[in-house]
Amino acid sequence: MASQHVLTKVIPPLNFACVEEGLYRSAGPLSLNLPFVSDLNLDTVIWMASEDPSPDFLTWIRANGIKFLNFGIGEITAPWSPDVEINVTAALQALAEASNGRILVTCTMGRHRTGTVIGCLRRLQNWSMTSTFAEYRRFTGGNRHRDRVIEELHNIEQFDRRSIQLPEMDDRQPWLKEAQI
Amino acid sequence: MASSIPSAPASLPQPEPSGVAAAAPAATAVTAIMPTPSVQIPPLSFALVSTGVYRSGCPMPLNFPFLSKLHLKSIIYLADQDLPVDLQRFVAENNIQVFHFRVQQVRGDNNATGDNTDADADVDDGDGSLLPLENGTGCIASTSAAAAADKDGGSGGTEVPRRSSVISRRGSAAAMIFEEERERKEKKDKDKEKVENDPVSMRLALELLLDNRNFPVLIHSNKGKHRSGVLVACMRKLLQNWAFGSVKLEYYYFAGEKGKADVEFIEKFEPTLRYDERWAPAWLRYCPEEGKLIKVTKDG
Repeated sequence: MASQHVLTKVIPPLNFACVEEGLYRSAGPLSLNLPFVSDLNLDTVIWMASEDPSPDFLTWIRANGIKFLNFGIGEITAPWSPDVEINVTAALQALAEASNGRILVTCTMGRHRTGTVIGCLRRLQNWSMTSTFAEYRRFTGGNRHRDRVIEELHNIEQFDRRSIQLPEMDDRQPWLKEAQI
Repeated sequence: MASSIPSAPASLPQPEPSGVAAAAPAATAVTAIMPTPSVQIPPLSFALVSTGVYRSGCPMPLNFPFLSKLHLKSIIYLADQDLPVDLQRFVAENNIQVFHFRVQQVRGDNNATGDNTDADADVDDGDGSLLPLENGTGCIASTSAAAAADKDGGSGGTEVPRRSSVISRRGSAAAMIFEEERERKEKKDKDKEKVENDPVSMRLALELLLDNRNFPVLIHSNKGKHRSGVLVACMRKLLQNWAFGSVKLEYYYFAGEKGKADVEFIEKFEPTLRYDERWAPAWLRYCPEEGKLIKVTKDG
């Protein structure tokens, strides 16, 4: 990894961040982000938007044999609608599996839907609500989309940790080892 | 909400607590009222920056259970105050090396002022120097008297002896005080008008980040916004070759709308950094043509 020097500046996708070792979040990568995303050595992409990812990103995913898990949902505007709950739960279930390796969680802008998944992950990790919300708010910005923010924060708080069946310890991602249901 | 209580809780990894909770709704209510002792509270503005590098605001005692799980090897502390007493005890107990850069909150016309006061206010100010925490293993922190005698007060140009003192301190719970930073701080106390980012501290801190023997490392300042943000931004720009727009965006995620002077500093800052390839972090990316990173061989 260290020997692979890049000659031009790399451009992370919007709202990119490291969540845990080998777990990343961002907006949907565009073609100009691909050199950066390649460097992450991803095994799995978890796609949370009902919209399609950019064609370049999809081509890149196929060309690199990356697992693409589509849990696309529309904008979250109601408390845990069944569709949202099923997809978020499935995404978390996939996150927990060590076999999915290095993961990027992404949606169109990497703010709300991605933020909801990461927020629920923090709940699984038993983070305090304040810290979970602070992290969520960092990426959703000021007071725009107030309705969505309220719904999503509510969803994160109401998230039922028992709806996730954590894999056995050996098959679980290292950052979920201490998770409690 | 469409909550789903699993019908077969016995298959869950921790059958006992979940079994109880699922069987009796009353038990769920009780756990909801009483805070679970294992709830994890990360410090303010906590985040993973890249493998082995974390950032945050000043950790409080309620963050220590979370912090101890990171198994930190060192802390880069960017503030003009001493480390809070609680934290001094924590680093001593956990054998964490502290690199303390006494940099002040940036003040200036283009930097919002409202931030300066509150950033300094909420720190539990320790009464004494950093010396008490050197009661662990061998200490290498230089006291002000000793170092003042060693160095003839010349600012700049003397980084070589200081570097070697940084390197020779493996595995001890001692704090480093960089004397030049202290002198600089005293000068700035007299001249309160404007405080700018300190390039010398930033360069030394970046060189610490170029040595993975310091990892996992926590970068922290009082609130984890401005001073930590500048160091992380410089790391993104200089060590990871991020485009400047992305660097700036990340800075503002944590700093909010303040900190224009910081961003100007980040843009202009082009130091020459020395590092040893053997301990270069895995996330290091740089443009060899720019020649800003110089490989050296350090004595290990």
